[in-house]
Amino acid sequence: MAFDLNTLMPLLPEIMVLSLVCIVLVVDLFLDDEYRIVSYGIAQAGLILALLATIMVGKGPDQTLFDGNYRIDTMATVLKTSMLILVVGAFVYAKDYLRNHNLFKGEFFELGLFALLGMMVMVSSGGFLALYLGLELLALSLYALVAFDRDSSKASEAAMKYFVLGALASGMLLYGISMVYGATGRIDFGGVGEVLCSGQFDTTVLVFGLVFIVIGIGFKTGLVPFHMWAPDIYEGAPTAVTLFLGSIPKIAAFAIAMRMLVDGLLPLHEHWQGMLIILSLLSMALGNVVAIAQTNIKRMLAYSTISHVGFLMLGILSATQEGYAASMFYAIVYALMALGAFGVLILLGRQGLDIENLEDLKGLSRRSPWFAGMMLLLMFSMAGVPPTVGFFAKLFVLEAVVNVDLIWLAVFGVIFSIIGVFYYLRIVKLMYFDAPVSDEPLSAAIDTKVVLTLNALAVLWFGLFPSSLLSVCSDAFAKVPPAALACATPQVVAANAGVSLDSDGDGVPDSMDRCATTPVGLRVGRNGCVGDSDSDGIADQIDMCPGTAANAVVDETGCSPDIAIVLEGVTFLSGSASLTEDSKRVLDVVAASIVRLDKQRFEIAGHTDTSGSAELNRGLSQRRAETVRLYLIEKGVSALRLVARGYGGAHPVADNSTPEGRRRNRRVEINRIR
Amino acid sequence: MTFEKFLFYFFAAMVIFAGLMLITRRNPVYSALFLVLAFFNAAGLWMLMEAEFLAITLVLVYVGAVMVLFLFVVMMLDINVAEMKPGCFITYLPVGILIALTMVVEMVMVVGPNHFGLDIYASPVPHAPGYSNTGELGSMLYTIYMYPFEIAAVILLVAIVAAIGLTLRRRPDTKSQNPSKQVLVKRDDRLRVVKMPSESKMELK
Repeated sequence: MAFDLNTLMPLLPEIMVLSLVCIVLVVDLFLDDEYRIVSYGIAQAGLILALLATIMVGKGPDQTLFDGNYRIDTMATVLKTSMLILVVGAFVYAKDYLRNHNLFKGEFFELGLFALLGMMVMVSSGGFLALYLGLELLALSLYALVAFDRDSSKASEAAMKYFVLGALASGMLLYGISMVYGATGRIDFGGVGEVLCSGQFDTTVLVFGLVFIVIGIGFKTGLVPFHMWAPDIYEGAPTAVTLFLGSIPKIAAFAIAMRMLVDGLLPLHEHWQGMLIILSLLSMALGNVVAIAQTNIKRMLAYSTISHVGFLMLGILSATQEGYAASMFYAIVYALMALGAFGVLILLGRQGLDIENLEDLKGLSRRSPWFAGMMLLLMFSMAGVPPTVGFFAKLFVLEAVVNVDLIWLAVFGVIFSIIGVFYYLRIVKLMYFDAPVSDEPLSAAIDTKVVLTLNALAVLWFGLFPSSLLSVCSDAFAKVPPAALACATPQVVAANAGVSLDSDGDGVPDSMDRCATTPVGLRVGRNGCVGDSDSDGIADQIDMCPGTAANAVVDETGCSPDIAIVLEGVTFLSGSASLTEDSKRVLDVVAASIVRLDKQRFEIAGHTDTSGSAELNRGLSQRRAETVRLYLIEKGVSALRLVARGYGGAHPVADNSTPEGRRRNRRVEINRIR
Repeated sequence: MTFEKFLFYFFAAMVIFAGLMLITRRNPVYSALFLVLAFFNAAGLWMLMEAEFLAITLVLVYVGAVMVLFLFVVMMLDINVAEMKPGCFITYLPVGILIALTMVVEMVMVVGPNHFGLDIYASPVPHAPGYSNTGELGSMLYTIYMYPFEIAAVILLVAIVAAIGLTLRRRPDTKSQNPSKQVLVKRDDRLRVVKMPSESKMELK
C-alpha cells in the first residue's frame, strides 16, 4: 500500500482523540490541583473538535483501509458521532462527582478518552485483529477506571473481578477467533466472508470457533449467563465510572456484535441466531426479574442493563436490515437513557456522599420538581412508556423479530418488559408519593443541571420524532444484504430488495443507465450519460427526453413540442403515493434539468390504469402527482413553476386489458405549460 | 520416528508434565519454576516450527522478565505453605477432571486430524537456509498490520497511565528536599521582621 495522506484522512477522528489524550497527559503534569479544571476543558474542547472531524470525514465514501484492518462506513460514523456526544455529557456529569469525592484528577479524563479511542477502533474495525485490540484498549482503561478510587476496598474488589473475568472473556474470544482463522486462513472480515461464501471451509471448526466468539461477546456485553460481573462492578465502581461504563460501551457492544457476526460471519447466521436467541431470552428474563429484588439503585440499573442488552440482541439476531437498524437505534437510545439515569444519581449526591439506595430518591419531587420530572421521563423511557423514545426502541426491535416469524420470541420480550415496568415505576412512586428523607436542596453545578435537562428532553424529543434517529440508523444498513442472501452478488441482493443498483453512482439506476460507467460525481442526464446522445443539440445533462429521434425538432427542454414527457422509472409503492428509492434517483436528475430551464412552467400529471373505482384512481393519481411535485420542490425547483394534477384513468396510452398496457398507463408525465 | 518427531513429542510431553506439576505443587515457588519449564518447552515447540523469533521472545519476555518478577512477588509475600491445605484441591478434583476431560474430548474432536489433518493442510515445507523469520515478521508488522500495531502501542500507553495513576500517591508527610526551591530562596522567605510597639511601663498594683 503506497503511503498517501488521503488514506489517513478517514482516521482523523481517531488521530485527534489520541493526540488529545497525549496533550491532556502532558498539560495535566504541570497543573496544580486548583487548576485541574484546565485538563477537563482541554478534553471537552478536543472532543468537540473530534466530533466535527467525525462528521466531516463521515461524508466520504465507504472504504476499507490499511489492508482490511480499518473500515469506515455510515454505521461507524453514526456510532462514533453518538459516542463522542455522549462522552462529552459523561464528562460533565463526572466532573461534579469527582470534585465531591476528591478524585478530580487528569487520569480520569485520560483513561476515559483512551476508552473512547478503543471504542472508536472497535466500531471501525475491518478485521478481528483490530477489533480485539480496540476491545482490549477499552477494557484496560475501564479496569483502571473502576479502581480509580483506590482507597475504596469495594472499588478495588470490583476492579479485580472485572479484570479476571475480562481476561477470561478475552481468552474465549481469542480462542474463537483463532478457530475462525484456522478454518478460513483470513483474519479480516471481508476475507472471512469471501471464504465462507466460496463454500471451501470446515463447518465444524467454524461453528466451534463461533461458539467461543459468541461467548466472548456475551461476557463483554453482559448477557446471561455471562453477566455475573455486571452488578458487582456497577455497585463497586465510583458512580462517575459506572455512568461511563454502563452507558457508552453498550454502543460499542452493538458494534462488535455487528462487525463480527454480520460483517464477518453472516453466512453462519443460522448457527449464531440460535445462540443469540438463548442468550437474549435468558438476559431479558433474569435481568428484569432479579432487578425487582434490588434495593441498591446501581445494582438495579445493572440488572436493567442486562435485560436491555438482551432486548438489543433481538434486532441483530433477526438479521434483516430493519433489525440491524432497530438494534442500533436501541443501543444509542439506551446509552442516552443510562447516561441520564446515572446523571441524576450524581446530581443528587453531595460532598463525600453517594446516592446508592432506592430510599435516597424518596420525595425527590418535593426537593426538586423539575429534576424529579426529568428522572420520570428517563424511567418511563427505560420502561418503554409511549411518549418517550424507549417505547419506540422496543417497538422497532419487536417489529424486526416479528418480521422474521419469531413471534414467540417477541411475545416473551413483551412479557418480560412488562415485568420490568414494575421496578422503574417503583422509582417514580418513591419520588412522587413518599416523604423526603432530607430537605437539602440540590447542590449540583449549573452545567450539570443543563446537560441533564438536555439529556432527559432528548429522550422525549426522540420519542416524539423517532424517525429523525431511525432514518439515520436505517441508512447505515441500506447496503447490508439480508442473511439469506449473504453470499449473493450485489445485483441479486439489489433485485431482491426492490431497488436497482447504481454501479457508477450517478443517480440513474443501472436498468436505465445507458452509460453505466460514467465517473463518480459527474452530473449526468436522465439516461445516465454525458454529451448529447440523441444529437438534438441539447446536452444530456439538461435533456429531459434523451431518447428523441435524431434530427427531430426539439425545444429547449430537449423534447419534441406537444409530446408529453413520460417519466420512465418513476414508480410508487403499490396503492400508495410513496416514491420508491429508484424513483427518487430519477427525479433527482429531472429536478436538475428543470432547475436549469429557469422560466418554463410544468404540469405534473398523474395517471393510473382503469382497474378499481374511477374516484379512487383520480384521488390516487392526484396524490402521486403531488408527491412528485413536492419532491421536485424539495430538490430546488421553484414551487411556482410546478402544478400537480391527477387524471386517474381518463387518458390511457395503452390497452388497459393487458398487464403490460396497465403498467404503461400507470405513469407520471411532465407537460410544459405555455 | 524421525528426530524432529521425537523432539516434538518430547517437548509436548514436557509441557503437559510441567503444567500438571504447576497446579499440584503446594509451594508457589515450585509452581513458578515449573511454569518456567513449561515456557522453555513451548519455546522449543516454536523452534521446531521455524518460528525462532517467537521462541526467543517467549524465553526473553516470559522467562526473563515476567517470571522473575513473579518469583520476587511470591518470595516477598511470605505465604505460609503449611496453611495451604490440599483439602480444596481434593474436594474439587472430580469436577475439575470432568470439565478437563470434556474439554480435551471436544478439542480432540475439533482440532484433531479430521479437521486439521495433513490431507487438508499440507505439512509446511522447510524454508531455504537464508530465510529470516524475524525479517518476515517485521515486514508484515510494519506494512499489513501497521494499524493494529499502532493500537497495540496505545494499549501499552494505557498500561503506563493506569499503573502510575493507580499506584503513585503523594504522601504529604514525607520529608524531602527540593534543590531548586532551596536555591531560589530569598531572605524574605526565611526572615520576618516584626515591628512591635515598645512596652509601656507596667503598673503595679
